[in-house]
Amino acid sequence: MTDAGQPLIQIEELTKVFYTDEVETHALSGVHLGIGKGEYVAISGPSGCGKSTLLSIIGLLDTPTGGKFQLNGEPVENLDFGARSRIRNREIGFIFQSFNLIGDLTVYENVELPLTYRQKMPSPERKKRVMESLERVGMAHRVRHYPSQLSGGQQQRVAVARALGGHPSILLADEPTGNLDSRNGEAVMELLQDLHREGATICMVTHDPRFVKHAQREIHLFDGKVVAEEELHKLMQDVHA
Amino acid sequence: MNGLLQDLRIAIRGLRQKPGFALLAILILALGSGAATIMFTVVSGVVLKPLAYPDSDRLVAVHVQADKFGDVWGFSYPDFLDCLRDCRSFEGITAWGYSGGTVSAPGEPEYVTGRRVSSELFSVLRIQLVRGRSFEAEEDQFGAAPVVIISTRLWQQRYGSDPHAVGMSLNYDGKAYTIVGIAPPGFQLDGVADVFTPLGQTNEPRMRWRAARFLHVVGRLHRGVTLAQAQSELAVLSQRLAKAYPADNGGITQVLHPLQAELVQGVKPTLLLLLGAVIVVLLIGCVNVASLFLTRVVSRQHEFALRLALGAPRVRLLRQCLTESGALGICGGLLGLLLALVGTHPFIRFWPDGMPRVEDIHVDWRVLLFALSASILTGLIFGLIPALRANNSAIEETLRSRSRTIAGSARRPLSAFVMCQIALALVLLSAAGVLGRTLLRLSSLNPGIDIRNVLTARVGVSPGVLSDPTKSRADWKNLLEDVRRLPPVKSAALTDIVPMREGENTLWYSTTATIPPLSQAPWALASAVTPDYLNVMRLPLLRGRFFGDNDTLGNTQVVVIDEKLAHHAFGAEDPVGKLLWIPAMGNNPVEVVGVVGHVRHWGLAGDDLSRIQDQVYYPLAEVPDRLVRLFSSIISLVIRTDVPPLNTIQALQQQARGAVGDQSLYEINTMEQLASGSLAQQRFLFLLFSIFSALALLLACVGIYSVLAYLMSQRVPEIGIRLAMGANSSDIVRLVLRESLVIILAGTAIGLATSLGTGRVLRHLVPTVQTSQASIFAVILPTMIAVALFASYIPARRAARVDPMVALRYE
Repeated sequence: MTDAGQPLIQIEELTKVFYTDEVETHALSGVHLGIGKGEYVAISGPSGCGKSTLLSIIGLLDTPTGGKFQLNGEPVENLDFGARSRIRNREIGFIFQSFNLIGDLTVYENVELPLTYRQKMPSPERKKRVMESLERVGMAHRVRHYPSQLSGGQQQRVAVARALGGHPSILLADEPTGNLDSRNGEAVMELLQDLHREGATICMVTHDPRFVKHAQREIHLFDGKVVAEEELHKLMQDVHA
Repeated sequence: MNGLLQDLRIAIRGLRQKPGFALLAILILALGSGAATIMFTVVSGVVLKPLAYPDSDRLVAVHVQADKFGDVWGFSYPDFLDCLRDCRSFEGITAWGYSGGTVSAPGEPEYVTGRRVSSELFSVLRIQLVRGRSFEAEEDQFGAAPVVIISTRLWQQRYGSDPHAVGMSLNYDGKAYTIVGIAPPGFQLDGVADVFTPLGQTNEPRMRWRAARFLHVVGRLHRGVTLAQAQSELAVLSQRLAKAYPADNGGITQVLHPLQAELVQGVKPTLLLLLGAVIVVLLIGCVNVASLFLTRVVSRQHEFALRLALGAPRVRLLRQCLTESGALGICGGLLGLLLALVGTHPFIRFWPDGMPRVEDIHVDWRVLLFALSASILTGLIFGLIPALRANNSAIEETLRSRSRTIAGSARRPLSAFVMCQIALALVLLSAAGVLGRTLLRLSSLNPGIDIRNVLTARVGVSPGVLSDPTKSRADWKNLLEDVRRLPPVKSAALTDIVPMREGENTLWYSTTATIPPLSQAPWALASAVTPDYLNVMRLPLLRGRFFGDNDTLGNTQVVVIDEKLAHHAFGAEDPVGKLLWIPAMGNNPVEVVGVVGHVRHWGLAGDDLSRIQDQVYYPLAEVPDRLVRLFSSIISLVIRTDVPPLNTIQALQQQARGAVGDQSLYEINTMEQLASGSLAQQRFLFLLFSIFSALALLLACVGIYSVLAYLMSQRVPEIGIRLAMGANSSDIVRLVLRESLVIILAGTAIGLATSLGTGRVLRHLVPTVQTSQASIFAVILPTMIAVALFASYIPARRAARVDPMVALRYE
């Protein structure tokens, strides 16, 4: 989380097409995007504009249909499943709208989960990182609790801790406040803000304008394309008309 | 009633919507209940159903029990006559013995099995003859006119079912008999017999000898007389006979058993064992379907919660679930019944040594009741737990829940079902393993003779020579000479008994002139043989010599003993030259001239269990004239060939026809067949248990697969999260296999403990089983775990291929 300003993510002419029953859906159509190290970027846009698809491709959960995608200067668009898994594990931290904690694992085990897939990481190191992450989000006192015993806000903080534990290059947050009330939502946003201040690179998808202001930069998506803010307003007005 | 019909309609509609689930469940249940119904049909016909005789509960078998040997002997004829005269507990009492001979007219000569029966047989059993009458009391005496009752088969075959056959003549064993009756079709007396002659007409010395206990005795108790009362009366008679004839009857008691128990005692343990095994298979099937059913119920929890929210009483939901499971159970049961209808008789045909009471085995109301109860019960068993679970879900929570992840509480019963299946499959596998190991051990035992290239056959001696001992002896000699002329025959001999084949001759002996009472004396299996028997069987001669041509009547009576008798009678001393007193061979002692190795006469499996282990051989030529006819009726030919012995049968039969051409060979077997046949029951049990355990293993694997596949489908979001966190395919496979392994190991541990208990039951029911289970477990545990893990691997692999994007979209 150093080298602020250096390009971390470089995307050119990115496309994603879904094929279902002879129907071709262009989720992304020639997206150009760059995210520098230490940047806090918000991706916004109306429902179905391709925000989550873009985030999934950035998070290497999905592969693009066309275009170029470099992470830390390395092309990653054509990697196989195993290589993407390794990069995901080391470089990317996910924060989901519905927290996605595993119900049968304790708070500690949930945070430890990504680290268990790093075979060479010794157990004391894992423990140190888990506790650091939990302390960072203020959840160290709940290590033995199960997700069902926590409030929504607490669960999301645990999810943030899980994302932080692997010391990723970038935190990807997909509507991180979508399942939270406004007070807890605000608290999570403040936590992300703090992490950014400490140097974390964050890319957040949201459609809530209240939370976009926390980001340094806002990228607008409409029908799978990056558009300028003015153009977005015009397009939205056309749609409503 | 309307509600129930509505539930049934809903159940049928629901099952039609999931045809794969319904078909699989019905198939599994049909297999389980079909196997169970087949076994129950057999158990019902053989063990449970009363005998086909009227008031059969009053029929008893009477045995003789000796202090030293237990309940092993039949009756002597004099003892039977005493019992007939003095016992007041019986409405009637009858005796019978085995016989057989050549029917030479009308028609071609043919050897047939027969029975010598006392005149009371048909009245005691209350059997109606097809034609004619039973024997009169005066016909059941020596010197009476020869009369015979023939089987329906013989009547049809020899007399073309002539209604006037009664009164016609039958030439049997060289004697003309008048037919007085036709026995009903299917009538058996310890097997099928074609000719029944009056026992009392037999003029054999053993008929007058109290020590010759060769008769089966059956009695019909007076109405109201209990088994215990009759037993008390017999005890008094036994004491009286023991006092009157201490040498022959001292230490001997007459005991009663219900006839039905007596007839089926040989097969009952095996049948119960197999019934137990198929019930285990049925249980595995039930558990299997229960797990399928539970997955279905879990996936319908939202629907159930909605029904409850709309005001459905919980009992109604319970009923609906049970109606569905009951409908499946009944469908499976009906299909199983169909399988039983088709499969029962082929199963009986495979039964080694013939199943008793075959004629009583058929699907009747008992079987239908069993099949119906089993169907309903299995439906309840596999439906109840899922139904209770569906009913106990929290309505609000279920309705609000969007998550498809199932909690541990839902996984637990599924895991428990898998554990049960593994445990039950392991029980059957270990039983099959123990039986297989036993079979292997028994097969490797040395029979004591060289069984390769040896052919054995009973000889239906020419009826014309039977009444003249000199002619009979000449006939034996000619037979051997004729047979030896055949090029492939290397050596040939005659014997009264053949190792590992039905038929025995036991006698008691003493090493001193003071012979202890019969019940206290040591007993030996006796074989009367011709000198070449040693070469034919390749008996190992350990000391002294075997018989020569000079060992005949008039010279010193000699015997050859086996190593066991030598050890029991003479310890470490050299037995050659020593004397033995054998009352059955006369008052004078006989000289031991040689010692041979022990032969597993009672079969590879049965010999170690036999209470009579000692063996003695004596020359057939020493048989006195008065016994020659008896020996002619039981004599067997044994030959050693230098070609596969079965190839010589035709030439042998041609060569053995005798001077008049009415001599025949029957029951022709190689020694290898006899040795193999002596393990038939063990082999049959092993085969069935192998099939059952393979089926159980297959069902358990299907269970593991279906449960894991279902659990994995419910854990797609979780797998998505793991993949998003950087897990790769092998991490997911490892995760699933690790969790599966825990269930498999738990099931294996339960199965292991249960198998130890069932191993004891197995050893109790199959006495030849002695193998330690440890070595069996060393093989089957890794196999079981590997197979179960393989079944887990497929859903694990599928889970690893989950697209993280799709997985996360579940949320």
